[in-house]
Amino acid sequence: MQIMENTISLCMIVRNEERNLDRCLKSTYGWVDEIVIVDTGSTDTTPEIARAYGALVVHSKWENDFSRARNEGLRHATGHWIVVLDADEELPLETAQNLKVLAGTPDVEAWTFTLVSPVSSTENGPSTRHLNLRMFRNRPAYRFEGAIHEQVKPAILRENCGAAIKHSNLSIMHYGYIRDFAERRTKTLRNISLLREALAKNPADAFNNYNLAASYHTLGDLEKARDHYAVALNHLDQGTGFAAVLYRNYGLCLYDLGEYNTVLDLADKALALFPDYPDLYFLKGQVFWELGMLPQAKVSFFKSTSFTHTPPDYTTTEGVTGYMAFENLAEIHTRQGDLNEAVACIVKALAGKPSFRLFSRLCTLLQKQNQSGAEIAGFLEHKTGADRWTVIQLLFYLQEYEECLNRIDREPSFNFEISLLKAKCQIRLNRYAKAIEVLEDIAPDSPLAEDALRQICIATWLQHPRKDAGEQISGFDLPDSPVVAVCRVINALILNGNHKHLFDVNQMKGLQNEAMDIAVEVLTLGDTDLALAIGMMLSGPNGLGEAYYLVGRHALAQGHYQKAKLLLEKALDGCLEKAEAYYLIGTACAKLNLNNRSLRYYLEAHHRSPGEERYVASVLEQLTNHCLALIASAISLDDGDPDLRTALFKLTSLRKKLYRLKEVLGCQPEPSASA
Amino acid sequence: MPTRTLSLCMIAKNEADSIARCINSAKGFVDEIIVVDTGSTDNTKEIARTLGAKVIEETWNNDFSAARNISLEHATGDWILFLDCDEELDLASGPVLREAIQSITYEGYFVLVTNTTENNLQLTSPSIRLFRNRKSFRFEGRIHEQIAPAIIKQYGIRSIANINVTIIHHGYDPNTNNIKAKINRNLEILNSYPEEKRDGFFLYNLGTEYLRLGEQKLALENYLKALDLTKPGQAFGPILVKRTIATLIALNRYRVAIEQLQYYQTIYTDFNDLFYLEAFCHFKCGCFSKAKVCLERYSNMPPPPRWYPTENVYYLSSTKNLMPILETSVINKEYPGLSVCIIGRDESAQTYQCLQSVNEIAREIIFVDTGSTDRSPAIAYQMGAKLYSFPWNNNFADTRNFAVSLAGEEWVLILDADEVLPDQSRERIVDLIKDARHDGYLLRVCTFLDRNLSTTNCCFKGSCRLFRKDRYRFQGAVLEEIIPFIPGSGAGLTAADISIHHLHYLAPDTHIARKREWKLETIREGMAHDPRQRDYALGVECFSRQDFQSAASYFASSLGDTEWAGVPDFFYYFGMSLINTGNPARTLTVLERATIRYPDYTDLFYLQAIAHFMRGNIEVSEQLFKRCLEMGDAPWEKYLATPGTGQYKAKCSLGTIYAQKGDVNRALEIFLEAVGTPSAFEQAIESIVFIRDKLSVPIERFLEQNGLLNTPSVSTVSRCLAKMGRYEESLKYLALAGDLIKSETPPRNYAVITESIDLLLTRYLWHAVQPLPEDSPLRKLSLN
Repeated sequence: MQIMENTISLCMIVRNEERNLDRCLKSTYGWVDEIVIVDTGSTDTTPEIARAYGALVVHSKWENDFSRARNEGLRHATGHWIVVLDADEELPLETAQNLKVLAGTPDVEAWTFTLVSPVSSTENGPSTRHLNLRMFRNRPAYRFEGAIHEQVKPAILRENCGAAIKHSNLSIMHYGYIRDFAERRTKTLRNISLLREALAKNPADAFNNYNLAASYHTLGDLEKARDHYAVALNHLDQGTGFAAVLYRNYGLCLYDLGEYNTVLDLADKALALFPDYPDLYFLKGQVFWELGMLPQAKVSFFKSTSFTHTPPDYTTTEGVTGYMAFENLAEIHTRQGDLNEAVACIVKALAGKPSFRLFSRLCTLLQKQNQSGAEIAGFLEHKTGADRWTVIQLLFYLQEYEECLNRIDREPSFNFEISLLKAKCQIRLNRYAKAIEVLEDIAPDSPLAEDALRQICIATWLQHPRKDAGEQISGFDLPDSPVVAVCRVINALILNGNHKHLFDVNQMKGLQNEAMDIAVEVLTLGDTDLALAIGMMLSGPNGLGEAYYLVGRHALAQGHYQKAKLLLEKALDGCLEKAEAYYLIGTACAKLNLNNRSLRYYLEAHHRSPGEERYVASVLEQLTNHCLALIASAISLDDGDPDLRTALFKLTSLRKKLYRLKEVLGCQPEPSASA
Repeated sequence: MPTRTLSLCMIAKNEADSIARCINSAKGFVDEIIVVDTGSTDNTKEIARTLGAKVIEETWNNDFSAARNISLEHATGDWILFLDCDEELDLASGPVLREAIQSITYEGYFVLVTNTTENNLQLTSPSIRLFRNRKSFRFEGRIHEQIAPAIIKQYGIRSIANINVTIIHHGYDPNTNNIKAKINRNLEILNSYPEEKRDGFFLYNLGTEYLRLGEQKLALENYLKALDLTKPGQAFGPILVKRTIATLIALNRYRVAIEQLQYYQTIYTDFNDLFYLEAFCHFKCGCFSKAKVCLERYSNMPPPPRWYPTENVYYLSSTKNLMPILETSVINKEYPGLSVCIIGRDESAQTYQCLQSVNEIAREIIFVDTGSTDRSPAIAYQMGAKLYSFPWNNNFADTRNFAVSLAGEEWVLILDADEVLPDQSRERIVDLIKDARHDGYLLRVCTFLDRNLSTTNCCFKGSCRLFRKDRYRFQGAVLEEIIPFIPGSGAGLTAADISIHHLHYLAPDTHIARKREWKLETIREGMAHDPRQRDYALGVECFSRQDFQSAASYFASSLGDTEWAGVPDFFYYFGMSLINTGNPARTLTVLERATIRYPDYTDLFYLQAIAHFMRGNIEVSEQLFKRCLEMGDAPWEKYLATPGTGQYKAKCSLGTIYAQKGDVNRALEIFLEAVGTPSAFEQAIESIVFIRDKLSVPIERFLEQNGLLNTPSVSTVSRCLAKMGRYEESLKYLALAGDLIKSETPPRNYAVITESIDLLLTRYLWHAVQPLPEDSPLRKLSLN
């Protein structure tokens, strides 16, 4: 009988991983022969979870050295093969099933896997991929090296320079990038201090500089990241494994910093070395797009879509060869006025990864082509494979309420969500009684009950003359619901007309947001009077001007720019924060592409309140945009002029810096009125 | 006689991409092909076999010579042609090759290996690649292996001839990605060489590898050592010299380069490149006459023998560019000796320009360093200066006198390291001292107040900078003045209309700030004994950084309650500070007596006029501006003078007064007249913008009616409005300029527009951050 030499030891190092460990071990359980876990000082239930899976738990003091801890685990492993995982990783079923096949393959010393790291917690969100060596034969000489970002590959190659290291074509899921922000920050800071220690000894080390840069990049300290990327690049041996990803990440960092000239140089340099790396083309496309160099951007994105597959040893962002590039191409075609091409690109993007955002963009394009609601719905069904519910939601988004209702009526399935949308359509078509009828069917214990009540109230109040919704409100047995409380107050307001006796501002502070939501909703339904009455109620003794201001501000935050602009302009006479009002109108005008007016309002805001950084940043942004428009128009005439080119890069870069700055300063008005 | 046979020998490892090109180029002219493969993992061997080569497999042991020699062991031909895989035989060279091996005279031949480098420059170097197949001819050296020593040892250098065979080398292509890996591999092998075997050739190669890595200093170190160990007869000698020189030039070490060049010109007398390189070094140093002599010599030399590495084509074209510049810059006159004394500290940004601007006329340059921590003394030395250091003792006069005492020539020209002599001033100085009627001259120091170096924003000041060495000395710690060295000597100082440009504001901001710190320290220390002088000097410092408030209070304290009879400049500074702090009444008091004492100092009257204007005394103001016009600009040799106060500036101000009085037409007449003068253009447009409310039409209509609606004028309007804080209007005119330029015929000058954009954004930013906290992220924002 042949002795099977394919037993597998899973080796891990952990500390306080109770939240992750279970998922990881579950995915391997039954597929590996032994689990060795080195615990470097957990204070939670991590060891218990490990033992529950039959793991050998080895306690080891943490000595600031990842390799040492990993090697401690290897020392205890008895299998023929080692598989290395981190607690925040998980084996997909296909990978787990194939481990034995890999272990049974003769003449291979080690296997690499593609690590798939989702970068957002939404399902189907974007992810990055990179290659990593995670399985190797258990030999005494194969030990990890490097205090941080430990590697075993050098040892394998040193022992056996012809060693076959093969790619398994299998993946490992890594959830580290979407872990809780604070936790990630702590880990990153710890890495930074370790790396700085290592660099103190050898400041020119390319790998450590790269990792330090990446850590700073994660923390958002782009300047420091840039400097260390640069050092890493200067001391890079082009043959090393992280050369390609270094170029990519350095490029992304420079892009975020707005250093466009440098990005383009770097990308071209990198493409000479890695001509099959689509992320580099995508990066160039983004730079050209920001610079308004549309033909060049188009070529770059097109190039990145021409890759049918990305070699597994490149770290790549999912979508750069597909849906993300197509979405950008669609944007370029739209800007160039070629709507048909734009539609075609969005359809391709949707085929790669459907999302409501892409669908709504498609619909906007189709609407621009003067297609009716029914035509758009037909297109969605036949060309994109959108399901019925998506089509219904999109029709609502397009304000095609009749068509939306038609579809809802033809919809065989039934749920409260559909009912709610149906009622909303009816309200928008002024069929209040029908809407109420539909809404009353929604069960009071449904999670949508609050929404239903809100809509019932709105449908009641909007009728001529206004009606009393008291009965329905009392019908809802939701004692702690802010919606019920707010609806009750607004109802009383409508009945009595005089808010002063009814409303205690302090008591209602927590409900302000809810009240403003309703105000903005009735505003968009055309009932400005009611919206302002709600506003008056909240503004207390400060009168109508303040009410205009509060409602206008809230409408702006919710994206109703035209309405917001009208209200805020009226607010100028009587509101308290005049400078802020000017600023907010400026913002609304900017959104509505009324750039001259936007600048004037921003300047007025700045003039009234010279110490407010947001105003300064906004004026600068408008000035920059105006100048950029001027430069762009000149460039269309004199493409190669060096003065124009310099100005284009300079101003685009400034715009990017301002964009980042405005984020830091919190320039987007929050929906909540922070009174 | 039987035809002689030829073996092509090569070594290879993983050369699948290039080996076919190489073999195919030579296949038709050789009788056998031997390839020693040192461990390819690609299909190099298969390709070679398919092309008819005999492939010998060998393990690689870090020794190029050993591998090559193995191929020689297997060769059966009478002659050997040795090629590298990244090379190919030039198409026309095959037949020449065949003919050459029939020779009974020679043992080997130099062929030419040509490289195409990054900037499409052809670099050619000779190499022995064709030689008899003798057991005793074997390669030596583990890397950069050579066959020459073996041949020369036995048969002498005369046994090797030159032959018209060219090999094209495709290696070192910066676009291939493994170049750095190759260099590192080479360095690894080289560094493992035992110490005793490190000869000139070894060091030359080590230097070259460092050069490829961009490590110029390490390269130079090795090249210089290599030169010491290399005999002129060695084949790589000329290329070593040339690479050394190129590296020296790249590191701006002109003096050392010239010394080396002059030495090797006596060794390789027919190597004309060395004369070109010397010309180039002199040119960089500003020694135009010397450069011209060398360049002429280079042009008149015959083409060098083929064994020199040469870049003829490249040098010929740059000669064509260089010669006209030299011809206009050369000063070919007899004149007394001139020592240029330069005092500097941490001015590395400008020392080069300074020395380059005077080297042509200086018989010697004395550079006195007062404590630099940067490269400025090194730069001065490499430009040919004599270097001295003088510990800074907070006294400007002491330093200058020290420099003068070192001068060996009859005349002395004094410069600071942040000053330059404009081109036209060089010849004027020579003409002046050729038959001088005076012992010393005041030159016009023109300080530019911004980075545009425009005469609309500068001030003039006479300063004694050119004098007979033994006649004058300096005195005074900060505000130095010149005094006769021997009482009674020094036949009077007189002004000469020669400019020196002071480029203070071209330095980076941090540098300017640092200099200001030194200056303040010097003032506080060096003038402690004389508080009145000290406060005056401190005031000037505040003034120059536009802190008029502090300046005014220092000047006030300097003036005290007595009537101080200080220098005339004092009154200009004080008056200007008071005006800028909005205190016209005090201005008038201060200037009242000063204008009596200095009746030809136009700037003071100009200030008076402005003060009266500010106080509403329009009539008086008008009279004073008229007086300024009658006076003309103040004599710079006596006073700190701003150009234009006696001309267009006064005129435009008068125009503004007329407008104020309601006579808009007369005002506009004046402005329109001034627009025609280039240096008054900006001021005139600014004046029009200033009274824009009084125009019957918008500015753009007015400009149009007067034929001035063009990009430069509208851009200027935009700039003026930005300076006045009217950002929205500024932007409007910027947009108009953007429209106007479109209808101009190409090439269009967009610089006027992009400058206005810069100014608008910078002005707004500057203005907006003033009230913000020190740590506001907006303060870090900049346009560049």
